[in-house]
Amino acid sequence: MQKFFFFFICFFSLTISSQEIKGIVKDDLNHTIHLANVQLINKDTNKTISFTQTNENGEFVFKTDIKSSPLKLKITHISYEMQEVLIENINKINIVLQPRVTELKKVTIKHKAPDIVEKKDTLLYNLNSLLVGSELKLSDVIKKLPGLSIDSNKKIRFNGNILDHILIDGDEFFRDNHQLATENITAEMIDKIELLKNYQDLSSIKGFENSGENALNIKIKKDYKDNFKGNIDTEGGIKQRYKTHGNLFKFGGNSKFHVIANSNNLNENIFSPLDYLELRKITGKNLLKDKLVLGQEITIEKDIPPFVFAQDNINKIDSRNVTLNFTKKPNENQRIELVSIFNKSKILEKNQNLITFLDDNSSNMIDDYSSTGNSIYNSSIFKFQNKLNENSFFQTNFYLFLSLDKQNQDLNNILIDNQEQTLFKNDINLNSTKTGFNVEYKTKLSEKLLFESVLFNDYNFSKTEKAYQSNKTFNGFNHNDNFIEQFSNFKSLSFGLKSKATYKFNKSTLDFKFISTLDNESLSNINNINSLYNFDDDFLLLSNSISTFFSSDITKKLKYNINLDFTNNNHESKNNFKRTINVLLPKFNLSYKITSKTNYSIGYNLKINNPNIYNFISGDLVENQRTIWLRSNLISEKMLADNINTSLNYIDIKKSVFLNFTISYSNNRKQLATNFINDNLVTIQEYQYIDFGNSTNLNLTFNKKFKQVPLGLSFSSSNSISYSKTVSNNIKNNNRFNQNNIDFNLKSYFKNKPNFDIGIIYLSNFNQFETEVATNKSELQTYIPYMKLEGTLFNKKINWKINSTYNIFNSSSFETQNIFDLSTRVQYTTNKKISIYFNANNLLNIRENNLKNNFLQTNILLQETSMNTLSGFANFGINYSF
Amino acid sequence: MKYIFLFLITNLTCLAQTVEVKYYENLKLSSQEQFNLMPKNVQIAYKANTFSYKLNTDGKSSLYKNEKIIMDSADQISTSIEVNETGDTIKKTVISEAFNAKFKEKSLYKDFIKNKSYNTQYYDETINIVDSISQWKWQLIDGKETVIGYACKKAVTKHYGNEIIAWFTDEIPISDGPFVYCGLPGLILKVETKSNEIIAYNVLFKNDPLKISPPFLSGKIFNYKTLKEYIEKKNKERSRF
Repeated sequence: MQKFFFFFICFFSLTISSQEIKGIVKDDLNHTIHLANVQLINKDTNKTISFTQTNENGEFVFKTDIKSSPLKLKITHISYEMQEVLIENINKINIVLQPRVTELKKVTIKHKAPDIVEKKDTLLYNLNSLLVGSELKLSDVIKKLPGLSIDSNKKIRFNGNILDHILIDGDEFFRDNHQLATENITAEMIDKIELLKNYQDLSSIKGFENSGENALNIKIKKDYKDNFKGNIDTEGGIKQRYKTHGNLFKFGGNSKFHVIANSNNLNENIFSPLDYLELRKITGKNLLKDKLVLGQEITIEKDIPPFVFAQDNINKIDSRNVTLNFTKKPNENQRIELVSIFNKSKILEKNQNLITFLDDNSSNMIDDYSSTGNSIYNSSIFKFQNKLNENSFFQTNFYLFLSLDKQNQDLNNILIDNQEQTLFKNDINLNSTKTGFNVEYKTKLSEKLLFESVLFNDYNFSKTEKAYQSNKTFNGFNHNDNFIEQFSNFKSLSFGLKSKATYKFNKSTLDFKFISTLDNESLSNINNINSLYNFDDDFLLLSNSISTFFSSDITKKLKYNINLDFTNNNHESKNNFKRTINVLLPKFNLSYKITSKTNYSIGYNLKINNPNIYNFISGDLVENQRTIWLRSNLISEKMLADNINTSLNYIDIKKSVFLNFTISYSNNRKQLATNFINDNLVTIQEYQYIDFGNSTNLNLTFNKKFKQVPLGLSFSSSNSISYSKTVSNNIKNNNRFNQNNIDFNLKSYFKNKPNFDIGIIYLSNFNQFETEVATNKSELQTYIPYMKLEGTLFNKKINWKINSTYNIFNSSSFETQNIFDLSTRVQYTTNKKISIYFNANNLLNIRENNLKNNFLQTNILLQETSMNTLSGFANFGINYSF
Repeated sequence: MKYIFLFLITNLTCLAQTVEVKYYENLKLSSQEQFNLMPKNVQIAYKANTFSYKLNTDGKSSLYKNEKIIMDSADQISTSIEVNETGDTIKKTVISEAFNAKFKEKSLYKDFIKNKSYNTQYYDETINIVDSISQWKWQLIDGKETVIGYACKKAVTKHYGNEIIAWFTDEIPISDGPFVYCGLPGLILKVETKSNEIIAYNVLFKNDPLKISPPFLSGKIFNYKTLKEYIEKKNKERSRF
């Protein structure tokens, strides 16, 4: 035996006249490929002249004296697709290999391809193995991907947390309007989907990278990128139910463009109102908030208009909508984004309420309610980002939100005790405008020092007109007339500044921050009742805070951060009070990587809540035809809240297991609550401070996709329990609220076969109001078993879906009917461009408008509602794609 | 300068592809007569399609190892009675040693990234050879053959004057092969020498990362040069007797 040692390139004798053919082989992520086989082939004879392998830098060299005949290169590698390239230029041949898709040869396939491949901070989903072939939209695709889910607000979540960004080909698009993406991007447009666990946008500066945000990157197929593409859907059926939906987009090149137009009366929202609210996040003040570096901050969403939850609890709806998304990158360092949404909707509601007042004096009441609401809103945002150089970044946002809302209500109240009937006709107009801009600049002064500054300015105007007409005089309001008219004007001007310096040590970061904001609110009210209702108030809030933040990675596994914030708040209410509140607010977070797959974090923070002008009104304010807000004699007080969050996170990519468990607890040391005084005619409300109130939230999500069997299992549970103490009719109440939402789901992954998605949802509300003399309890439990079937037929020419849901209600206070909801959609694709479909929803309840029951309990009343809900529909439609 | 850029639409993640190939190592016979003359225990070693070896490779590293050799073999005593020219009857007893399966055991680990090979074989004793991977001066020549369904191309090289013929397929783009053979733009499925033949009989693709590691070596460790010296020394020792 003898040692062999030759370089591969020395196979053939070299002549002086020989030429060098050089090249480099890379993958689509620009990583060089080592040990790829490269053959130099005579194109005419197809014979291999020479062969070699790439070195560790992906390079190869041939020396050949053949000049006359055309040559080609054949590059092969076990992990990549074979590639043949004609040699035109011998000096630098760049070859990009694409990962191998198909099995080499169907001999015996022992193991399946992995569903997800993890590369650093990126999870690449193997759509080939995860998709079953019947997916139509991005939403269908996402539901198949382990770790990802779409919640009831149509938000995409990754391992239980809402996604921070959606990217189209690496560029942020659709903002927080996840539904625009999930319902308008079709499955056939999608080339690849990857999840970036530590997404850095243009604002990221080297050495001071932003904290890890999740982004879902959707790569679009080339065919859908170069030209304007789109589709139009039109459907209609009995009872004049219709929908028209159009999509026009262009994703290629430096700019991306997407317009969606929709008109329907099916109660299909193009984006959820929650999306609309989140669009307002861009306002200046929110830019001051730093995202927690570690741990999770759980915010319990408040102030969401009831129609977000309305679903189908409406009698009729007609909505029209146009949405524009546009981004442009004139060069690598600049980015322009424009988002504009226009929405017009008309909603008809019809309810009958039985109201039981919990005090012993007031009579129970039947309330027939019907309302016609017209609302128009427009939201526009313009964003410009510019990376001035490697070390500095600038961005600015302009925003304009307009909203017009008009409601005409008809009410018929009957007091059960004496059968006295009162009729009301109400007209309510609400117009609001919100506009402003913000500017952010950051620059790296040295390798260790970063300076940031934010400036914002927000304006908010809103005008409310309320007119109440009744067949009786408004005696409860001490008003000897049957007509009430009220005009309210609210104005707010906010201005703020933030400066921040971040210093980087070895493994630690220290920053100092100064924030100063000024809010100037004014509220004026004119009412025809009497002069007590006429007022003109001002409320001024000046807040200055200095804080220092220290974060350190003790080991690779253990990280922590501590923040100490000194805040000086000055509250001034004209003619009423002037107060200064100084407070020291601590915050800490600890994160520990138990194993490579398990992460645990715990955090604590103390927050100060600020009041607003409505808490300090100097006159009375009419809320509705039987409710007034009493003038306030409160002065500003320190309202602190403690928050503790802890979470456990487990992700095993190879086994496709995703688990997230969080507990958050918040305790209000002092907070503003509403105190009620109720009688037959009127409810008087006023704010009061209470020094008790806490809530605990538990969230658990689990997701597992099996390998041996084509099944996926998911479980999610969200539970909250909260306690508060309020006063009604001068009696103290202990209140307890418990809400549970549990969803258990099993779905199949049979490739090109019918698939199922079965599960059960359990929803429950348990409320308890306890006074010294009595305890009122109420509960509503809902069990919703569901089964969804879908598949394709005739070589994917027919795509079908059947959804069946059974709603079982179990209430402590009233009898309800269970509802069986059957929906189906069958689509037949005639050719690539045209498809026709049948779309039916709630098939068994098409004839009549349905009634649904709901209930509401507060500490003064129990309201049982019988709502007219939308009937089902059955429509035929046509879809044209271009 | 004009660059060739190739933009490709990729559909899927980069999957770890590994290949498991099973080969038979067969000794070649010059004639059937020669075979018939051999003692039965020696004939075992010449039994075709009996000694199976498994190659696991992903192009970056590979392991070639024998599969379990199950052999029923004991010392064999054959007695023959011959009558010589003078008419005497002579009883001849030939004892042939039992076939030692250890001679067929081998394992070869190749690390293409570090250009290292670890070869463990048995020549009267276990011998480990750690050296760089053999570099063959292959020459591609015309010739086509199908080996278990794969279209193979022909390559030849000379080793100590002996011709080695390799049949490789670029349908499996891994520059590896059985035992020490490798270095062609495709997997070698068949090797022929004057006295030997290695032929693949099963190919299996896996989408798992390759789970092999350099062997733990016990016994003497050589490189090819020191081994040659060692064998020469041993041969000299033997020839003394």
